[in-house]
Amino acid sequence: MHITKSEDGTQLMIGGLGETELEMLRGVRDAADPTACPEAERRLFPAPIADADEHDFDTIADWKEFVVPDLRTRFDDALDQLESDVADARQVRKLPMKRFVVKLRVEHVELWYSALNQARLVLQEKYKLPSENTSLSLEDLFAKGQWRAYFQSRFYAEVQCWLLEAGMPDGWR
Amino acid sequence: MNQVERRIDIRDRWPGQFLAAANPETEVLDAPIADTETVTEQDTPWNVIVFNDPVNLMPYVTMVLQKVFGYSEAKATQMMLDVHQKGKCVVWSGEREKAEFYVQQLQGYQLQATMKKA
Repeated sequence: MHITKSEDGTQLMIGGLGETELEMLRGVRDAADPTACPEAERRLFPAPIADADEHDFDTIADWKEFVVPDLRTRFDDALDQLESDVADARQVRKLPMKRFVVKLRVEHVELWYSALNQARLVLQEKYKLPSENTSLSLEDLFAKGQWRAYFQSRFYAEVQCWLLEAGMPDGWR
Repeated sequence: MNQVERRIDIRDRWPGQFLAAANPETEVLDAPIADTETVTEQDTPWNVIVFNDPVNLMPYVTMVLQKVFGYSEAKATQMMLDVHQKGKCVVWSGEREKAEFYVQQLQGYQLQATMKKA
């Protein structure tokens, strides 16, 4: 798997994707769904004020009414864009194993990053995945039913690294 | 924060930006005297705090702090390291309204951010 930039610098191409990797990209929206996981919902939309007191109730109510829906729309837009780009994946090889390429415009990099981040945040909260600093036991991952979420999250993190390396749009500099 | 990003050195790719300095010549004349309660409420600064989490990549956090606050890369990197090593960092202090705005921005980039009276 590799990522390249088009000569005119307007597109990124994620190439050499196998069926498993493509399936994981198709699964970003489901992975990012915090429904039925209050911890994930709270992580995606944290309270604005720590140690709030009675003077802050109005602010918190306004936040829930105005800010959270805005964030939700923004996050959904990112998922929509990734889903749309992945839906246009092109198969470039059949044998010995299928290979696909996904193209995205450079302007979509930030949205992709956001979508993958949402998925990783929700997976983290849902499955309480081990951190990088803890020793990793495959047996534990299987026993706790975490292995799929773990590898999915690792794969998304890899793609995020590539996106950062390939470069965010100009507005980030 | 996640360690995966350590393979990436973006320092050469993201030149720092600097906050515009406040004008030291600015003079405040005859400011009205408000009652004590009002002064306390309005003048209490608010801290914007970013908390560590196991998901956000370190270079991303640095980039977000640069983008939202206009910090230099060195300052943003130091704050990111504080978040990573100490668990949290006050990334900005000031008026409540601005603090709310910054928290909204940071949460939009999915950093775990909140505000608290200083």
